[in-house]
Amino acid sequence: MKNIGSIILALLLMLSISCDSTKNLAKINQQEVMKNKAAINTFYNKALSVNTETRPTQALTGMFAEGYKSSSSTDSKGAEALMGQLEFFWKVVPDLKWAPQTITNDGDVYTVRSIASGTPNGDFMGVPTDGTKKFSIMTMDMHTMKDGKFMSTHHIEDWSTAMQQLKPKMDMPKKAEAMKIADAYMGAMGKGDMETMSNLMHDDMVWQNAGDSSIPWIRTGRWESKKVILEKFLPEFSKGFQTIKWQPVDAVADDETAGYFGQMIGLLTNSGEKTNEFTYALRVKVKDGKVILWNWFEDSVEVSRAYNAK
Amino acid sequence: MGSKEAVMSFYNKALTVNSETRPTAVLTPILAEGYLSSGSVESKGAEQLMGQLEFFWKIIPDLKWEPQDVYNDGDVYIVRSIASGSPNGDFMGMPTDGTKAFKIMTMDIHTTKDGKILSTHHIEDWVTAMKQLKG
Repeated sequence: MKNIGSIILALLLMLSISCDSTKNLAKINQQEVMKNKAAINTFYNKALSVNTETRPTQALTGMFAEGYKSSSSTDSKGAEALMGQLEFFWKVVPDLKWAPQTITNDGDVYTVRSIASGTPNGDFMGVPTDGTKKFSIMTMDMHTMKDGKFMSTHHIEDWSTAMQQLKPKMDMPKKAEAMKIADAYMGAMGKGDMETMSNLMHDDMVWQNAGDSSIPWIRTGRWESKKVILEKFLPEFSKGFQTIKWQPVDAVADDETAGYFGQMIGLLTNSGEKTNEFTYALRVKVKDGKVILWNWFEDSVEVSRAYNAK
Repeated sequence: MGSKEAVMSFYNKALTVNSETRPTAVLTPILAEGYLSSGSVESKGAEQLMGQLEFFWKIIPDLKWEPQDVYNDGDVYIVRSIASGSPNGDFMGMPTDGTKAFKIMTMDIHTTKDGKILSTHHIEDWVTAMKQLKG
């Protein structure tokens, strides 16, 4: 009996030690997470966002583990280079703000999605800026952290969008209305953005393209109505013809008509044959802000030759 | 299908060109109703996303989207990938002829529920891709 009592006592003691260690471990983990989150907070609010209390180098010194690397698609930089870059950003983007939107955590890795915004003044990534245009873009960073220090970071910023937002307006005459609409339609076609394409098409739109009537997307040379173009012409065309080169060289327009002239090469998917390079012209007419005529002039003999090649 | 499997099929079967399936067939069952994919300035729904991927498959016949890290926090999956391919045709306004390849990092944050993807935030390093395709 005495032995059983001792065993039970020993088991209870072990259980209590085990509970204590689990509690301690949880406490240590919680402390670790708090330290890491505090470091992340400093990174975005004190070093990436311009403020009057500190400077990037001052805020970040001591926060990077030895051998820290910040990596993008093609290059990596160490802590010193990163701090140098941020000092430069503060100078050229005096209102720079990097506002975290979500922070997720899995083990040692913290992913931060932010909105970065600012109004650069000076040469910013090769774009001349004068402090009158602002960028606002999404960024994502994956930080591996330990004991409140940054071990490594993978980062992406949507600079492609920032560059578009910052581009100076060209000193060109106002683009004619027809060209604006035709450009938007062509851009949507290039991206495969069917919704935008559909929105820019007049219900009575005609797609006109004379040529070899045995080619499924040419036939009579006329496709009439938005519905027919979307449901019959475009599926045939996109299945059978791949644009290899499409280079507009010249364009003229007024408010109702736009004309484009350029060079192109196509691949006929049924034969696998490419056309030789040929000159094309395109006549676009707009009505009520939508495309009503899309009239291609291409080297139909060359397209027919490639379509019928073995 | 579990949420992680749904997320992985997004990369292996819809974003990476393969001979077994097509983007629309893969994504139709795994994108939840009202799905939104958001970049910096615009969002697209499931239909638009599938249309864009069908277009990518056509113009980048060797498109690969390879997850490097997959992390998870609750219903959220975070995926860092390397996307690569050799476009042939008009790619984001740039004429390409299939002789140059891009290889860039991408990151996506997917919110999931019951094996479906509810929404995605995404960034691709297209600035670097454009430089690689020009150079």
